Amino acid sequence: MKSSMNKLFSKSGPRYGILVGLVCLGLLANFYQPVAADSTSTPQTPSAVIKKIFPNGLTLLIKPNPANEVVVVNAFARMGALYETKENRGISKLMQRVLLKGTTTRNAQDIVYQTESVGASIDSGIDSFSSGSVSLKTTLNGLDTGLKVYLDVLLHPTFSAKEVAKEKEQMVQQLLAAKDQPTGAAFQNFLGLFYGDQQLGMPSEAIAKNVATITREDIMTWYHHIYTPANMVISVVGKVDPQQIETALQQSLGKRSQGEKPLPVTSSLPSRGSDRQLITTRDSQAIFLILGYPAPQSGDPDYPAMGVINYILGSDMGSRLFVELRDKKGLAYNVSTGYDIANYPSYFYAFMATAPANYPAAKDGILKEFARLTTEPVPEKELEVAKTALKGSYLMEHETNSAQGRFLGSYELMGLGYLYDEAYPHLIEKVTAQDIQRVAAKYFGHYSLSVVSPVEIKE
Amino acid sequence: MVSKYKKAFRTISWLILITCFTAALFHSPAGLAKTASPFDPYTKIKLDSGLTLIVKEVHSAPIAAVDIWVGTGAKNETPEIAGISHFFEHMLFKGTGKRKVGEIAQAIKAVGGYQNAETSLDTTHYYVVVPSDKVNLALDIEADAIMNSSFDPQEIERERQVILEEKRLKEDNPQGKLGLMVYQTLFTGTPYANDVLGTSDTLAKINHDTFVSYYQRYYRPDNIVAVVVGDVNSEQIIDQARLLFKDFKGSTKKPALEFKVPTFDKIERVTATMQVDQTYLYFGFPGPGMNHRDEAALSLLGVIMGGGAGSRLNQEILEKKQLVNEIAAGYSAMEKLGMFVIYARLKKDQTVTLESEVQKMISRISNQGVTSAELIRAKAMLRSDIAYTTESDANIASIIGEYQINGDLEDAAIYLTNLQNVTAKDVQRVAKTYLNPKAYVLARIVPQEVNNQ
Repeated sequence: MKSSMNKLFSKSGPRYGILVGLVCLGLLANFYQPVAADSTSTPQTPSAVIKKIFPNGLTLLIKPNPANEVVVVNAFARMGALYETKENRGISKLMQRVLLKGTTTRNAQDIVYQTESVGASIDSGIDSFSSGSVSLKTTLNGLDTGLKVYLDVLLHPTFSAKEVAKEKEQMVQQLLAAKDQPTGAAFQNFLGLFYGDQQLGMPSEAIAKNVATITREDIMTWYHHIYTPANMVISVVGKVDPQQIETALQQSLGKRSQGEKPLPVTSSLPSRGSDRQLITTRDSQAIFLILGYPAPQSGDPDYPAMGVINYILGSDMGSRLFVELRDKKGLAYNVSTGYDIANYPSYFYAFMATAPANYPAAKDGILKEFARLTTEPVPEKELEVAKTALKGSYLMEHETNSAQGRFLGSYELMGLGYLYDEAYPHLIEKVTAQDIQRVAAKYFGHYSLSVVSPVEIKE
Repeated sequence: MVSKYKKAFRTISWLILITCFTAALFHSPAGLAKTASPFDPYTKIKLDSGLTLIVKEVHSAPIAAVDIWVGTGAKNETPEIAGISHFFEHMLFKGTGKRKVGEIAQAIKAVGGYQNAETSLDTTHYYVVVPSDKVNLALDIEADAIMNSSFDPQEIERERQVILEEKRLKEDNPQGKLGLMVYQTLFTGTPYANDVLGTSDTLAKINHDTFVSYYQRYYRPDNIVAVVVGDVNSEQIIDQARLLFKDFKGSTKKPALEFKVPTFDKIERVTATMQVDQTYLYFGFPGPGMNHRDEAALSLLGVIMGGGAGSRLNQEILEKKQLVNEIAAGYSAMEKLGMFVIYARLKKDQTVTLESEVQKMISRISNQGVTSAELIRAKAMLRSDIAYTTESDANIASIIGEYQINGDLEDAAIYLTNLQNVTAKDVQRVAKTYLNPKAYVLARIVPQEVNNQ
């Protein structure tokens, strides 16, 4: 039931990067000395993160951590649905898949064998609608070899026609299987409802059609568009010598020409004059419903309050939906809410799976709890519990080097700045019951409801 | 609260968990008779009540995990009470004499922690992770739940409905359904064919008295291991535990579980249809249980065959022949028996072709063995995974608890010694012994229109 770091970063991005960055630095000034806010030297406090901006615009964050032998290097770049059109939607993910399939000096097998033989692994993928990353995870023993291969992958991919064809087919099949799980189908339908005909809401079948037409040349062009130093943030966490890491990156990525940051394709929410719902039937035993509302983006002053709402409503076994619908009424095994940091029009949702006969009570119960937040102030004790839970969860989500690197890099890429990682719990602390009620009333207006059901539902 | 059907279905991730902490081992001189415990230093004591307590201090983050393991699971159930272990697990957080319904969850949430529980065929465990300055609360709550749960009839009724919902969800999940199919076919006639979630009929009959009887039989101090890992003081934890568990007594003796491990001498194919786009399948081969001398070699065989992008199945079946969209393999050992599993997701139902290729690969390994490079790679991958796993207090607590409840924590050292000493010949031998290309279960979930192969 706990929220996960991956969930937190399942949607993130840069759209309002500069603006948000300035706003947040203003907020951060309450907690930190200015020297740590955006230094290009080596401040060690309070986060002990070293930030470097190379002359070509590449941002490097290093967090030495002597606690264990694990080293994680992550290269984040703005990419994904927010930067794609309806015509090339899917190209970022395809590029990420083929990236690991060969360089000018290593074929796909070399890359895999050389890294796995020292116990390292290199992975690439899409993290959200607005970012993707390439990661190296290794122990100290594999760092030298792993880093060489990793930098080669980032700098010299060949995107061979053979590998492109193979990965296209694999990706198409993966997209077609996306609805094999009823929850996957319900969520895709929800995104379609929520984003309307924008590229963010495109169904997997439509993306699969796009992918089938993408060429090697398209991917090469996209790679040069995305993997520019100005568009990248690299985070390194582990027992490393910061100077050695910096030198290695300076001599490789540091020599690239600057390039430009890609611009997001305009994305705003379709206007909502009424509730929307989509009910589809499929052969299943349970009924799956996702009900969501618009939600504040990262950097929005309302963002922390919505984060607390998540903990009041459905993030864990002590939350309102869980207690009311599962503990007291036995309506469901699985009921929860989700809200992820995102720098594009975002959403807050409740998910529930239950028996078809329970559907009316489930839907009413969820709507009632959303409405209650808009009409009744949250009792102080409940608010304090939710805030403590959120802060505690946040602490635990930072347990691994991998997680720490993702938080730092994602915040930096999003324009919030890496120091937001330490500021966030303080922002949570300031949320009041009035904030909760105001934010709930502001956002919980017309809902989007996706239902996957084994039986026809008439309302 | 989740039911854990089988570690194998987490593919390599569980393999990683059960083979962790080998770093010291792999760096030590070869040829040692027995490796020192990979968990050193830790404190293990048996309390007066008979409950085993293990405390390991890890001071890298202000976090602590309390994980209580009970030596009972679905394999201990008779047909009339199928599903009770898991049902019981749900009830344990539903209130005690001093904490009403919902108060346990609220108390943990109020300090910024989280709780959950898992039931498998062998064991049940309950864990709470909190900021370390609240570890005393976490231990108090866990001890209270273990010793004083109320089993309120009204709560039993509500939770029964919740579990029925959980069963529906599992039926709707291709992998969940597939897991049960392969177990029930491979281990038919043994308690390892039991469905952790039980049946609608048996769930309907479980009541307060059934719970009390089950509790008395299995929730006895000598069948429980409490583990505390994190930024804690061992002496303080031991003192608190002595106090909390001082009146904990068991009233009946845990019944012995005896059954004949089945032999499998044919290929058995089981198929179900679902509304899916692709085919999902498992090959299952029976093998030995935990602490068997071949467990280590089988684990390495799993990595060589299907762990990571450089494995044989990934390179030959996925990359070169492109027969599948996803493939993995691993070995999962339970207390009394185990299973080598190969998982795949296919574009269409190309099962016949895939099956032939898998048979050929098994024969090749059985006849020609594996290369030293493959063995080096597999050991290196496991070595790294140890380091990754030890980043989390909850993971460490879980591994310690599982080893102890299934025998002895020191068995981990033996297992790691075995891993270190595995040779290419050993891998070839276990492939020949356990992966019979003419005797396995092939369980499939196929799209509704593809069911004729």
